[in-house]
Amino acid sequence: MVDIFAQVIFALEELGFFNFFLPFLLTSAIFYGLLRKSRVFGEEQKNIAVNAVVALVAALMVWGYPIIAGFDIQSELSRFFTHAMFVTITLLVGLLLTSMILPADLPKQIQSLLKGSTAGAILIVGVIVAVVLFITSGFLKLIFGPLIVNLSPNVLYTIGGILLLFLPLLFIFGGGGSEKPAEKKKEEGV
Amino acid sequence: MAYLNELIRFLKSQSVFEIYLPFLLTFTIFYAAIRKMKIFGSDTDKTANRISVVIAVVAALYVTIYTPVGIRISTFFATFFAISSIWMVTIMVFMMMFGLFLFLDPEEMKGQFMKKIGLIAGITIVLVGLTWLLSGGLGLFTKDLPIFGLSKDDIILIVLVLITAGIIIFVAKDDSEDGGKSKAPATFTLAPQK
Repeated sequence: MVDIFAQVIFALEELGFFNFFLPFLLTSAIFYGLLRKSRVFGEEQKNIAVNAVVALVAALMVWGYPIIAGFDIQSELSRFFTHAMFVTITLLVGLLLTSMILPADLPKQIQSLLKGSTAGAILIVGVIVAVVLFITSGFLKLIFGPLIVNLSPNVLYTIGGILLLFLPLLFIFGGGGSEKPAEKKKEEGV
Repeated sequence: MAYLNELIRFLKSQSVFEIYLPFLLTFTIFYAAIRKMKIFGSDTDKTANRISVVIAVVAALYVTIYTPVGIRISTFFATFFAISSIWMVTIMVFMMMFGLFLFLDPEEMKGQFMKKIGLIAGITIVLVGLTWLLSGGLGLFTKDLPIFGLSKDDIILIVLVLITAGIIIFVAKDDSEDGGKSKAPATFTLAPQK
């Protein structure tokens, strides 16, 4: 039986749709959207052409990247979005499970709980997940080239060992900080 | 029953579960998330919405060409949603029992649960993590992990070191959270009696 979807995907892949066209589309959309929102060149209605030219040039550069740099970016982008999807789905199901036994309007309930260290902890977890996604998708190789990926375990152990040596120093000297001026004044009786 | 079997087999042979449904799911979730976060501006801004659509479509198209070696994406999603639905049914029955035999008002009961949010979050993380592992999520991620020629023993060692460092940081933070005030000697001032 003819598999319609797979055939379409294969045909698109052969055309270079995923390696050239989609990165171009993605870059132009992100650049244009952010240029509009940030208003770097002024009011967005008056600078449509400027924003569009900058976004298009950036996107065309990305379009040429697989040829210029000799890297295929379709597998990395595919892995990145799919892994992000897995993480999102997992979080979504977690929220759904929680919502079954909590009062209605879960976002509001969660917002009321996100204070101080809880928000910080969630932020740290988010950053760790983002770093894992970045590494597992293969962007590391794309950015740093084969240099970092081909490092031997011995070199990695040495780097890890040096970092571990610095950790206690950071812990000792970075933890305390200086006294707050207000507290100092209070103590001095000013 | 046989017709349903045939239908599912037909849909499977057409890659509906492997390509079409992941595409639809990714597009919807990415679009909703980008709009909710208002990354490109307000959700009433038409251009911002169009940009969000383009990005969600691109992300969804990339998901369609993801071809993992060990496990199929449809197997992951099917297993993941099946196990999740089992958890949901279990929680539903638990809630039914709780409400029926303790004669509690549903809203009051949920309010009580809200006070134990830490415990509930912990249980949810365990359940979702377990579901993720059972669906082959770990295999999907570690397959793509550049392990720099490290052996399994090396990776276990690194994970153990990280866990130990985490525990040390957690314990140290717990001790220093009050800035050592609890350990400071009690002070008092002598005042003349009136």
